[in-house]
Amino acid sequence: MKITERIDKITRERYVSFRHKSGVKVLIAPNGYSTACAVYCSDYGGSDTKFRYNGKIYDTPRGIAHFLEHKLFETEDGGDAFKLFTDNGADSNAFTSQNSTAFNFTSSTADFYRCLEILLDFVHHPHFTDESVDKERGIIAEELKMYEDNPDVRCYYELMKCLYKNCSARYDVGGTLGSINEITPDLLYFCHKVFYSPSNMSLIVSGDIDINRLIKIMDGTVPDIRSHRAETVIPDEPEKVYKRSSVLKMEVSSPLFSFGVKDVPSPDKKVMRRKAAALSILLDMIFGESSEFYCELYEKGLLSGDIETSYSRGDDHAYLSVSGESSKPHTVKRRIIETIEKTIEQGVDDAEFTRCKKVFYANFVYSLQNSQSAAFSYLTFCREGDDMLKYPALLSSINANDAVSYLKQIYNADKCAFTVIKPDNQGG
Amino acid sequence: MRYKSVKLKEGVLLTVITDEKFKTENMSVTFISDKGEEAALNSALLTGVLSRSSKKFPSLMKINKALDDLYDAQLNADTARRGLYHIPRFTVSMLGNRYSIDGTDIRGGCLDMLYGVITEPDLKDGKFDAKTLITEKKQLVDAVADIKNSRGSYAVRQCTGELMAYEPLYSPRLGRLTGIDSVSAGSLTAFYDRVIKTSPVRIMFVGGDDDDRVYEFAEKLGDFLGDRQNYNVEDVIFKDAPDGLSYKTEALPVAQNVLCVGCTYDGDINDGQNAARSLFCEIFFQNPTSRLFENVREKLSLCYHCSAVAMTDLKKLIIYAGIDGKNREKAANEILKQTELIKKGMTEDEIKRCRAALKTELLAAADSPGRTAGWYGRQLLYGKEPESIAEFTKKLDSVTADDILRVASSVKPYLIYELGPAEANA
Repeated sequence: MKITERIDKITRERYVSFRHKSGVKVLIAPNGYSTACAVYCSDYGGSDTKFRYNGKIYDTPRGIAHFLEHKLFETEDGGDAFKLFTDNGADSNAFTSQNSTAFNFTSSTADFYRCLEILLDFVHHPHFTDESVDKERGIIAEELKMYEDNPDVRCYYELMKCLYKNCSARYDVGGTLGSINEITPDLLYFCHKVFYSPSNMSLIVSGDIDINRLIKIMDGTVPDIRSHRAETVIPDEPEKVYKRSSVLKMEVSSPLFSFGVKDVPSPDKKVMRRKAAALSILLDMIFGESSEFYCELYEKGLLSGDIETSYSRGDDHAYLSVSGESSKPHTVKRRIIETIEKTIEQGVDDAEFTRCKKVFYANFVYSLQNSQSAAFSYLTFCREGDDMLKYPALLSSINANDAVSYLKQIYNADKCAFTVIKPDNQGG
Repeated sequence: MRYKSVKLKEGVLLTVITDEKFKTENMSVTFISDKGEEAALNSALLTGVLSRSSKKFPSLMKINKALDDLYDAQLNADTARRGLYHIPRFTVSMLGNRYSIDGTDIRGGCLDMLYGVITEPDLKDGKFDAKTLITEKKQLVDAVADIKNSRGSYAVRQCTGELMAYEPLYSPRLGRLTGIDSVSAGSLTAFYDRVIKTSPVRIMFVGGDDDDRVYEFAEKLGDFLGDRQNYNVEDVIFKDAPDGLSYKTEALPVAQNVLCVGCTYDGDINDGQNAARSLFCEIFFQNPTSRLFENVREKLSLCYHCSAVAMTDLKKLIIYAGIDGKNREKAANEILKQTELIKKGMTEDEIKRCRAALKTELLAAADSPGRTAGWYGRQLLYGKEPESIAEFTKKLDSVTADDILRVASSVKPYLIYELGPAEANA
């Protein structure tokens, strides 16, 4: 087993990483805190509904990865992993994204090892019955309805539905009230077998723990299963947006908007990381809270509260977005387009760009300020085989021209979409 | 973790907490303003206006750019409510200086900015700028209206309002905005002068290390503020619940109804029962093995979340759950049943499990400068000799089932509030 150690001279952060003999990728980052956090993650998410496995294509209901996340907490003896964690003083949780499902706990360093055994054990030993699956359906239905009432979530999915015609990013990770009805114990067992094999998993630990003890626990709990890797079938997706705009009425106080520009993701994750960093800095610079755009619209009362900008990407999609709240969303949209076009035409000031880079370097350090956020930050990089401690160097290597070139490359009127959540005045 | 406390002036207290494990740090200046709607509204507007500009940084853009230059330092000016008091507070959160890669003095720059924002506002003819006030009024109106976008928080806020309707001096954080039109640049400036001259002040630094800059900042601020009469925040007086249950519904076209059960809840920060109360919350609603989670969600599948907000300052506890309207009776009955069952006892296993969970939570709080500041800050507002997280953790070991039952016995449901579509509420 080859163990790699990395140390960053500026932040003094360090980690070791290796591939366990079972195939699990492992990263351990000491943190100097009294708590330790472990995240165990499968590369299986809401997008992986249609996949090729052992030469056959399978099409499964939307929301199954998320359903599996819920059900795995039930242990083989019909018990509850939450209870086992709490018995050992740990706080546990899980989430499902488009491309992954992660289970995590935070405990004292002393209780870490027992909790790690619980984590690895329940994730690899599923237990589903008709009755327990039916019961979970009711809980998940309420979770889906809760998100249905969340205007920010609705605005996000409306934008995805405008940008994408076929890509799974347009669908809710949790599925729909209809699709979760198609999920059975057999389907759950099958998807678990396909996607929870050790070679499809990563284990990240942020904490001052003993690596040899961790390996010993993994040796005893992670099954030695070599299975075929499933390949997600990615639907063809046109370069243009599916719809240019959409308006949804909902019980909100003031209109919410989201503007997006669709990009084509590159399979090279390092290229995408650089592009994401460059565009995120640039978007923050031209639309963020220090920008002329934001300050002027805020002072004129055209923007309320914060503005969110991001360049987001997954295995099958990438887009940039600018979202916020405004009583005049179409005026804001016009200003967003003018700002992008002016940036492409005139470029941006290098010194200003350098100032914005400091913000992203700071966010990197902020992400290390407790064991849980540190573990999740490392996870993002580790899943892509990337080194998080090289991120500050990556940031310093990006200049304003790179960022403007990326923007120029992706911006095109056919690739823009705009979504508004309008107040439904009939309600209340 | 090291703790230092210095009385800078009468009514102005400095607390410094350091631990080398902290990678980030924060300095906060908290004023204990008044009770009532006027204080709520003015505190909210004042923090908005002050954080928009100062003499040195006379525009929002200048402030925000300077914060970016200080490695994305965050200047948070907001207002809290504790009991009936409204508490304007100004906090700057920053990276530790050791993370500066270009020699920028992050701490020095941040403290300088915080000082300027509080003591050197950008006044025009001795008053706040009228145009800035108009913008901040709109931001405040939007912020209050936006609470409705988060259905659960809105329901709890409305339910709290109903439970506190008997108390004329109760006003929610950010206020009810009824008198917003009458706030002028002149009246807000007068409110600022009053706060600066008379409100008790708590200054707190939490970070990896302290140095002269921390003490110089505090002393300079203390000199500017001068002496004032000290007073502390007080909780409201416990009021027994009326007999029986009353019902209140509010119509909102939502996919999921929010059910709240409003209860009485006794105890205060100085009664020596804080550890028992924390364990009660843990057992009753705070973790995934709690009574409410276990029964309302896991056993009956009635909701995705069922939890509660315990407000000792208002002597109220509100249980809330997102439910399907057709399950309202079943959910309400189960919640009421659980509030009775918890008064009848709990197993040693439950206590042991929740004690262990709580201890980890406290360890995690002690790892975080923000949560550490919150831990001490709350106690200092009450004038309590602060108890460290480690001391409190030890106390958990001596809490008995009887102590927890005493806390549980004060929980008496008396209002069921439901937010949901009009037809479902019919």
